[in-house]
Amino acid sequence: MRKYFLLLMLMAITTLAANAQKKRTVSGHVYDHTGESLIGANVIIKELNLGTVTNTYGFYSITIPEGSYTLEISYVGYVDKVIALDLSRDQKQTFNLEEATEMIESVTVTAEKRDANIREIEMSAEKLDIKTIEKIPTFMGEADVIKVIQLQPGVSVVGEGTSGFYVRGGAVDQNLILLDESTVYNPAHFGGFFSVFNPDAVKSIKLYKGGIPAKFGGRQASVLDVKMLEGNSNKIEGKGGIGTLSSRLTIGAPIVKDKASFLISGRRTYYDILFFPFSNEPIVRDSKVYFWDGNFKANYKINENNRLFLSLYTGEDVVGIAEFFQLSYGNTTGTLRWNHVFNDRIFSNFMLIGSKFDYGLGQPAGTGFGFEWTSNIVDYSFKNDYTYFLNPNNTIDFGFQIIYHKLKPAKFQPLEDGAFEAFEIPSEYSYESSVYLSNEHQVSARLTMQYGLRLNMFNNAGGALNNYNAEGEFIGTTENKQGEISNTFTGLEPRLGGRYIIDEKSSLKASYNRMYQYLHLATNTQSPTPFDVWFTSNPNVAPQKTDQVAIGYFRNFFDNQLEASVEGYYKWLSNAIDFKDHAMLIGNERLDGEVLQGSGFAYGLEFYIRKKYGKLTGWISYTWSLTRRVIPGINNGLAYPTNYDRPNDLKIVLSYDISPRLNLNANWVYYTAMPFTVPISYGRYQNGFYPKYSGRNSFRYPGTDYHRLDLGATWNLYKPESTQRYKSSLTLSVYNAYNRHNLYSPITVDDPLSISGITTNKMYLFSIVPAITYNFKF
Amino acid sequence: MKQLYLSTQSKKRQWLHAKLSVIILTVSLLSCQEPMENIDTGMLEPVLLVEGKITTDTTKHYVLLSQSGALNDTNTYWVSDAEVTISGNNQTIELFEESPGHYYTAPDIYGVIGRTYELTIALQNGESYTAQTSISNIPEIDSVKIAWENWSGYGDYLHFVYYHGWELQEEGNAYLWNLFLNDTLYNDTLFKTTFVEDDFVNGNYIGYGAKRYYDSLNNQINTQGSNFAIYALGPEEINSTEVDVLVEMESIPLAYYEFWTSFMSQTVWVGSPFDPAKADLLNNISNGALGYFYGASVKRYRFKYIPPDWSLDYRNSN
Repeated sequence: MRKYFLLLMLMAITTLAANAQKKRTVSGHVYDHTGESLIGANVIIKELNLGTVTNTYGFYSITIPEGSYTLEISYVGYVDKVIALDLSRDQKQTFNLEEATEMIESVTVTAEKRDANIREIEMSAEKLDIKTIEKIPTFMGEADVIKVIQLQPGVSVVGEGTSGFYVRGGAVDQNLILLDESTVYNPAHFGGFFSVFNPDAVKSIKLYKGGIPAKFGGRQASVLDVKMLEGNSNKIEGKGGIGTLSSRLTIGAPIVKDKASFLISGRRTYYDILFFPFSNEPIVRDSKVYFWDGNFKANYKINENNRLFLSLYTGEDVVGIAEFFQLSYGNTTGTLRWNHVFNDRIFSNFMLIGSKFDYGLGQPAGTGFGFEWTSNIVDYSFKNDYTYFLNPNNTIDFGFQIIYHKLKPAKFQPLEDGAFEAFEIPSEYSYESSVYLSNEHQVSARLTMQYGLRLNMFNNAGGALNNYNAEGEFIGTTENKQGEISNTFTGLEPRLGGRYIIDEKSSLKASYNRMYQYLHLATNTQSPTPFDVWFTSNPNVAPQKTDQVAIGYFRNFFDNQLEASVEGYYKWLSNAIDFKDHAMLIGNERLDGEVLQGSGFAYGLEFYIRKKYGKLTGWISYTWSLTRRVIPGINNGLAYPTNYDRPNDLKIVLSYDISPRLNLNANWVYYTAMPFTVPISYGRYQNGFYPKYSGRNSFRYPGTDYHRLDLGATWNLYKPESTQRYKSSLTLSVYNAYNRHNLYSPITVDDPLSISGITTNKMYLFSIVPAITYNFKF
Repeated sequence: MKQLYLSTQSKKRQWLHAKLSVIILTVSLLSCQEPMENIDTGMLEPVLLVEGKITTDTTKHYVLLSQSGALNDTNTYWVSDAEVTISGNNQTIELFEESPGHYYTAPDIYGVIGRTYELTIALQNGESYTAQTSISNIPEIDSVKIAWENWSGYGDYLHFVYYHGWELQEEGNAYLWNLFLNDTLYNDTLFKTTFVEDDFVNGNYIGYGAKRYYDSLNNQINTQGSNFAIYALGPEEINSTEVDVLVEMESIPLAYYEFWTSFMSQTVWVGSPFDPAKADLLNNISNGALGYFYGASVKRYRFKYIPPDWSLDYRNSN
């Protein structure tokens, strides 16, 4: 640990020594015309051929020798701003960029800003804006952030229509999903067909698959960073849609012009309202199945150096089968953030964050078996980040975070007197703290390095601890008071990245990161369910750890019209978690006794070509990969593939603007068949069949490779030159256009026609699913 | 739906499976099935399958030996000429093969509560297998009654077979019930049989209707029993105006209950990505063999059930 710090110190000192000249700083924010801060806008000093990009909050800072310069601000889809800069003293320059119409865009777009993928040090990251997401065919008319993430290289899925995604061989709980910095524990609606992110309230999405910056930690495989829109600070603005499944409305407006604004957004599905009352089945008439969610964001610009933000999200899924059964689950997140610019070079962020996921199921009293079952996970967190723009060659990020986790795995409460007894698994409490320091260091014109360290500490701080003997048998429970620290883990995570520019068109990048994970999802089903509970590391469950190296070659073609890359990765997993065969993970007071830990590895190659500009846009990605776990107690201790191991994975996403009014789009995906554990022979036991199974995930049914074509079209119901405020469009989509019956799950069924009386059927979910959505904005 | 309702009436694992099955049900409503094009895995490995039990009844106890086969193979490959013994309670009992693969004890044999029994099998090919089990205590059956009830509130009626009796004070008991209607076994396969464990009801009175129960010192010890239907029969399943009902309750090792849940969760409660990872069932035969050898204490309750007239009308009208 000491040697890493020494290395960092040495690098910082070298940087400072080279920094003796008289320097001035220009800093400020870049916003769009509505007052939204622009993330990743290019800020370039022409004369020095030197630049930076705005951070997540639209802030930039450049320190250069005194002199006269030309400062150029550019951002894709916006008109460039160029100003003369007389830098004889430190300066603040804030910009509002105008959105480019199609015609202007072709004139002003410069080459520099299109080669970001070559120049940025970042690798293994996918940035998506909402405009891209809106040009991808939808499922049931719902544009969906996670469905688009699943179309990226290195991201695989299980089954069909699930919100779970698996990044470079990582499990579904190894993704850190952040909505305005707050953890979303379950991003799924309807058990996974839709995600919790209402696209109208989303500003940007970024998925880190490797080379993960030191400011992120806590999950092993990826970070999905979702930012909400801030709301128009100039005028009232709205957006919405009426779809086959749901309707949504978003309104953003100034509270105090150019000072404060808000955004409020909501959506609800209404299948139950529209169709259930007309069902012939009385039980259906009395049932309900829906989800809703709401986003709220407000921001207040106190002055150029201080800005306050409040982000809130809440959503819920409700299933009620007449009077028999009620289920609801949902996330609530909240972030209060204060952006503070200490001086021209130090930008900081103070955040209070809360997050909750809970579910409840039950049956009302008076039904003979009235009960309530509840479970939740609650986080409270304080986070403080700093960026120190030391000089154009060094940008230092540092900060810390403390999270207080409170887990209530299960509480069962009978609602009527009877033989059934109340039951509760004691809550668990823990602290997860981390400090980090990293530097992005431009070593030479060609070489940029990023190096950093993150130090974690995890404390179990109250709850019941199960004790097991050497044979793994339960021998009793130790009760720890809430707040009493009974166990501590520490972990040091080195992060390294480098980018070397070979020529104007190509660069080479490499990265290494280590990630620890202290919170795990108890799931042993093919796909996660809303009933899965999170549990923490403790003396019985070691923290999971992943080391990943990645190397990539990035090259652009046709004057940056085409971006291409090849990335290879290798991952080592330590203390990887799986569960004993037949473990019952819900309502299990000795969950940690069901955990098995071992190792794992994953490797792969990702090929990616993307065209971002022009009438035809889209990407093609092909991933070849392999994912294995080696866990004593499973598969006789031999390596086995995970169920999301899909060796060949091809995705084609295309969008074409036929005219300014009509856009056509399509995507086609192909994955190798899912592996299953299958019966390999049958015996007879008590007149029924008794299966003997193959090794874990050792068989892929022939002919069950997954492939699917989706089509979409958007017709703007206004003329391109129209200046009317209210604009609307119609979006048509066809999911699974050639009606492929993709295997969802094999199922063994009685079959009187077969000689043995049983057969294996293919269960599939969707045939062709068409949908239409009317979208509007004003 | 009937299966679902029954499950909600029983224990934690079962009703949690049932709750999950609501989601599965939702998925099933959306999903379709078609035969798999090619299900031959090419990985066939025949293994020994054992089915046997020893109970407190004085009778011929059986052990059946067969070999597993391919999915599309109807033949049962009985395994003959094995040496089969059950030892326990300070004696070793030899079983004789009466027909291919069917091995029986002498008719005067009975198992004893609290004792452990070991099954040993030696095959002609030199392979040998063992299994251990024990016989648990069993409570008295107060009574069993059948009621014709509207279970959904929407006019969906079933004949509910309600069990009444105290559950044992000790933890970790499990039970199954065999139901004979006019001497025909209703639960003729494993997945039709109701199994429960005492996890949520340990030591309580299980019964139908609100009643107060008192211990010998006249202290109220349980304000009310809870309805517990061991079976629910559809109108078509009771065909006569008077039925001779025999309920046979077996107190079984908890491990056998867990075998049953593993069987159910692998073969019956399936059909969605929310299924647990597949794995060989939790059985107790050594050396990689399939099947189970279990011990049970047995109690019986016999009564006549006269279904209400209109339940027969209901059946006829459907």
